[in-house]
Amino acid sequence: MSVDEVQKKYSKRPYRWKLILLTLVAALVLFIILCLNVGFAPISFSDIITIIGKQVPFLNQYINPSSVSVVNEAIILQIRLPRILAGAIVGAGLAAAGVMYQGIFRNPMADSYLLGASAGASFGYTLAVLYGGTLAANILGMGLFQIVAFLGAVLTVFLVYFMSRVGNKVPITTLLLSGIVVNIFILSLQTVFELRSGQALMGIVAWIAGGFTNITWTSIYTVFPVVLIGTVLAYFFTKDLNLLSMGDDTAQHLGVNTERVRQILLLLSSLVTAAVVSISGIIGFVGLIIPHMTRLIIGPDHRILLPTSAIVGAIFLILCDSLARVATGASELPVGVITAMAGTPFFIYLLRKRKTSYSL
Amino acid sequence: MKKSLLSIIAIIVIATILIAAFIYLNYTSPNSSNNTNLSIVDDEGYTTTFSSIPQRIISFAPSNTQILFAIGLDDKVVGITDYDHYPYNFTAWIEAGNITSIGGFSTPNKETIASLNPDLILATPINDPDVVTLRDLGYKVLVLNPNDVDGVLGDISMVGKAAGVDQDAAALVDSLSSQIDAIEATIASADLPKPMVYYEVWTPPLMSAGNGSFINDVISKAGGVNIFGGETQQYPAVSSETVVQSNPDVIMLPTEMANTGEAPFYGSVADVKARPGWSSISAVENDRVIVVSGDLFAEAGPRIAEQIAVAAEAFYPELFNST
Amino acid sequence: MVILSVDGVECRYGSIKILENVSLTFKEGDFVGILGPNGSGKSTLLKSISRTLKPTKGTVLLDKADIYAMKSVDLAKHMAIVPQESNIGFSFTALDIVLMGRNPHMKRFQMESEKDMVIVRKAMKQTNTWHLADRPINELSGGEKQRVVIARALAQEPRVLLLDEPLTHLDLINQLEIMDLVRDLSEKEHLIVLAVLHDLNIVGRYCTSAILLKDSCIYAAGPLDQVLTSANIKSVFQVDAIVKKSPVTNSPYVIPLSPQKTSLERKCAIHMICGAGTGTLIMKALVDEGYVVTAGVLNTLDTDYETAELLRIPTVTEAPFSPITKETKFANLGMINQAAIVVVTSVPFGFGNLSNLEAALQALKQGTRTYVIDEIPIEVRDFTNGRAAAMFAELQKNGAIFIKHPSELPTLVNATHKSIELCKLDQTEIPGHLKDAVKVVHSKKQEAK
Repeated sequence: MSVDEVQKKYSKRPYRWKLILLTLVAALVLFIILCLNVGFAPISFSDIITIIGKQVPFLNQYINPSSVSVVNEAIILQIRLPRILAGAIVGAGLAAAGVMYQGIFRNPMADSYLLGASAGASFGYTLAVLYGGTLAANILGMGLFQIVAFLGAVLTVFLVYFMSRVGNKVPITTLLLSGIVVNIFILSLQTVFELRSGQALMGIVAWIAGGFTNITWTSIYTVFPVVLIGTVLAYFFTKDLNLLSMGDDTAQHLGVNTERVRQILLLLSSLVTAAVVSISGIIGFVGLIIPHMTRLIIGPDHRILLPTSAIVGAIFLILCDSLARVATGASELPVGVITAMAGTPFFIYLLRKRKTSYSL
Repeated sequence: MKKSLLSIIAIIVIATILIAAFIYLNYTSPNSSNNTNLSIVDDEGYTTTFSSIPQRIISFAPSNTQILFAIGLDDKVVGITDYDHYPYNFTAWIEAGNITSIGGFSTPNKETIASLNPDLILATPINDPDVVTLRDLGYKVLVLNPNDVDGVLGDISMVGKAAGVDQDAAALVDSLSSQIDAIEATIASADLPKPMVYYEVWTPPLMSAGNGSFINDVISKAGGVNIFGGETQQYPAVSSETVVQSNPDVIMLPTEMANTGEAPFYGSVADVKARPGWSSISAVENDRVIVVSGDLFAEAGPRIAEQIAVAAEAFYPELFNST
Repeated sequence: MVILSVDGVECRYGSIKILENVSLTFKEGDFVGILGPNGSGKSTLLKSISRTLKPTKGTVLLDKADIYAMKSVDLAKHMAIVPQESNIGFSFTALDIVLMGRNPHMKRFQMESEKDMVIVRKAMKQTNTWHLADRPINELSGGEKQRVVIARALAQEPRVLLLDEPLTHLDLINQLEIMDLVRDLSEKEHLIVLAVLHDLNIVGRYCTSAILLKDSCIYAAGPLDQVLTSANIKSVFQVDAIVKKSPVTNSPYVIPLSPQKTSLERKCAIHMICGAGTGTLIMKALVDEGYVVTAGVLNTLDTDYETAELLRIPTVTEAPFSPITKETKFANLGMINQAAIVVVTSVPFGFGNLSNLEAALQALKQGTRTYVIDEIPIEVRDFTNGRAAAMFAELQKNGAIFIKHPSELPTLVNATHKSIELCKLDQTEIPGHLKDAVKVVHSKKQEAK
C-alpha cells in the first residue's frame, strides 16, 4: 500500500468505526423485533406490532387497541419482550466483561468467570434454594435468588482480589492462581450441598446451566443500569487496554497507571458479570469466544472491540435463546448448551479462514 | 478535560436511572387489587389475597393435583405437570388436548402458563424461583409443602378456603382424620410391640426416608418405628450395613411410581433378600418383605390415609386383614 | 537546556545492592554509552532513570524535577524508553504500535489527529519501517519489530531517549542506520541519549561519552578516550585489548586479544623479529604459553610495538621512518643472544628493516634455533631487490625451520623447548618496561665495546 493509501485508511478509521457501530445497533433492533415472533404461544406478527405500537408514545393513537387479547398482550409485554431484552443485556455484559478480562490478563484464554464469579453465584443460589425458600427479600422488587447470586459473585471476586494483594500491587499470576484455587474450593462445597439437595437438585442444575426462564421486568431494570454504566465507564479505559497489551512496563512508560487501570476494570467487569449472572445463571462461551470472533474480524483495538463485542454478544445470545425457546417444545434446553453448539462451528470456521496466524 | 468527562458520566447515569424508574413504574405488575375479601398464608408464610373465587387453576405437582380433584375442583383445573398420574390417566388427557401440561418439575413454561390465564397456581418449594417470577408477573401462587398428615390436612383446608369450597374440604378432612384415628386406636388398644421398619425409597445409592418426610409420618401413624427416623435429611443416603445392623422387622419396597409395568429399581424381592448380609435381617428371615404400590406411596396427598392403612396391614397383619 | 541528573542513587533487589552511590549528569547532545560486564548493573541504572525501579537512596532529576514525584504521563512526554524485548500480545499493526507512542500527548478520548500521523510517519521513515505500517506486529522479524519499537519511542518526541541493548536482533546495516539516526537526533534535536550497549566499538564510534560499570559501581565515566582505555578494559572485563584511534572515523576502536591463559611453567626466551602487525597474535600466544618473549627491532608506530608494550615485552625500538642504526642493531643482537629461539614472521622487508633479517641469519649461524613463518611467499614481500630472498635461501640452507602457518608455531616450540636449556634471561630481573630492558642491553653493549 502506498504512503497515501495507508494514511487515508488510518485517518478514515473513526468514520468506519462509527458506521460499523450504527449498523450493528440497527441489526440488534431488527433481531429483537424478529425474535418477538418466536415462542411457545402462537401470536401473529401483526398482533405483535400492534402490541408494541401501543407502547410507543406518539404512534399509539394510530393503533386499534381492541384486536389483541389481554393474554397475548401479557405474553408479549410481560414474558417475551423482557426475556429478549435480557438476552441482549446479558450477551452484551458477558462479551464486554470478556474483552476487559482478556485485556487485563493479556491473555485470550480469559473470560470473566476466571476469578470465581460463576462459582460464587452458583453457590449462593444453591444456598438460597436450599435454605431460603421464597424468603421475603424484596429490594427494589428483586427476590432472594437474584440478590444472593449477585452477592455470591461479587464477594467471591473480592475475596480472590484481596487474597492476591501484595503491598499495593496485585500480580497477575497470583490473581490467576487465587482464582483457580477459590474456584475449586467453592465448587467442592457446591458438590456437597448438591448431594444433600434432594429434589431441589434439578432446579439448581438447571439454573446453573443458564437460562432466561425466570426473567421479568424486575430483572431488566435492576440489571441493565449496571451493564450499561459498567460498559460505558470501561470504554474510558480502552486506550489504556491497548497500551497494556504491550506489557506493563511499556504501558507505564507511555503514561498508563497500570495498577489503577487494572483495579478499575476488574471492578467494573466483575460487577457487570455478577449482575448478569444473577438473572441468567452461568452461560458459557459468550464471554470467551465472542471477543475472539470480533477481534478476528475487526482487529485488536479496544476502542472498537469493546462496543462491537458487546453488540455482537447481545445479538448472538438473543438468537441462541430464541432457539432454546422453541427447540424442544414445552420444556427448554439450557441456553448455555445452545451457545456452545452454535458458536463452536462458526468459530472454527473463522479460525481456519484467517490464513495469518492468530496471536495467542 | 476532567469536567466534561464527569458530565458525560453524570448524564449517562441519570438517563439510565430514569429509564429504569420508567420501567419499574409502568411495566411491573401491581401488587394487590381493591376488593380483597380473602387472605391466605401458604406453607412458606407468604400471604396471598383473593378478591374472587379462582376459576382456572394450575397445579405444579401431583400431590397438589390430587388435592384439587379430591375436593371436587376437577372442572377448574386447566394445567398440570407431565408427571401427574392420579386420579386419572392424565397422560392421555394431555395427548387428547383436554388439559394442558406446563412441563416437568423444574421449568414450567411461562408462556404456556400465561396462555392458560390462571387465577390460582398451586406450587411446591421446588418451584420457588419460578414462584418469585410468577408473583412478579401478578399471578396468585400458593406454595404447598406437606410433610406429614397434619400438613396434608392443613393444605386441604387451605386450598378449599382459597377456592371457595370450604365445606367440601372440611368434609374430606374429617373423613381422612377419622380413618386415621380409627387405625391408630386399633393399634393402641392391641398394645403389641412396635415393629422396626425400613422403607426403601431408591437405589442406587441406597436411599430411605428420614425425619421430616411424609413416609416417616405414615410409618409412625401406622404403628411402626422407622429405623432412619432419626435422620435429619428428608431422604438420606444410607449404607447397607446400617440397614443390616438395625435389623428391621418389616421391609417396605415400592414398585415404580406410575405402575408403568417397568421393573422396580431394586430388581425383585429375591434380589433384595439376596443382598450380602441381608439374610440375617429379621424381616428377611420371617419373610416380611412387603411390596407396596409405588403409585400410592409417591406423594403426600389425600391418599395418605390409604397409605397408613396399607402400612398398618403390613405391620400388624393379625389386626388388619382385608384390603 | 535539558539536564538529567542522577544523584547518589542506590538500587536494591531485596537486600542485594545492585547499584551503589551513582552520581551522573547528562545534558543535551550527550550520547552516552553504558558499558559493563553482565551483572554490573547497566540495566538497573537504566531502570532507575526510566522510573521502572525506584532507588532506595538518591534522586533522579529531569530539569530539577524529581521524576519519581511526577505523574507517569508527564514523564512520558519527555522520556522514551526502548526496552530490550517486546512481547506484544495482540496483533496490532506496526502503525498502530507507533501511534500508541503518541499517547502521552493525547487526551483520553482523542482519536489520532493529522499532526500525530505526521509525527508517526516521520518516525517510521527515520527507522525504515514505514513500508511495514500495515503489517501485524507479530509477523515481523525480530529486527523489524525492534525498529518499530524504536519508532514508537521517537513518536513520543522525547527530550531523553533511553535504549536498553537496542541492537540485538539487528543485522549490520540496521545497526549502523539506527546508531546513525540516534546520533543525529542527539546532535540536531538536542536529545539526551543513554544506551546500554555491549559492543565497545559501537560505543567508541557513535557515543560522545561513556560510563563503565563494574560490580554495581561506576568504574569510569566521561569522554571516550578517558573511559575506553586498555587499562580500564583489562580491569573491568579481564581482557587484554589494544585501543587505537581509527583514522577513518576518528573514533577509538578496540581490538581485544584472547583472554589470558596463565601458564605455570616458566619457559625459555623467544625473540620475535616481526612488524606491521604480523607478530601480534604470535606474541600473545607465546606469552600465554609461558614463554619469555622479546622483540626487535620495531618502530614505535608499529602495531606490533603496541602489542609488545601492552604485553610488557621488552623491545628494541627505532624511530619511525628511519632505517635501523648500528646501535639499534647491536642492541637487537644482544637480545637475540639472550634468547633460545628466534622467530621471523611474514613481515615485509624493505631496506629499512633488512638488518633484522641479517640479525636472524647471524643468530642462526650462532646456533640459535630459528623459525621462519613463511605464510606469505618472500617474493611478494621482498622490497629489497632480491636481497631478502637471498637471505631467506641462506636461512634455509643453514637449517632454519620454515613453517607455513603461524598457528603451528606454539605447538612446535612446545614440543621442543624442553630440550633447550632454560632461559638465560630471568624475566623477573628485568622490570617489564621497555626502557629498562634497553638499558640492560645498552650496558651489555658497552661491555662489548
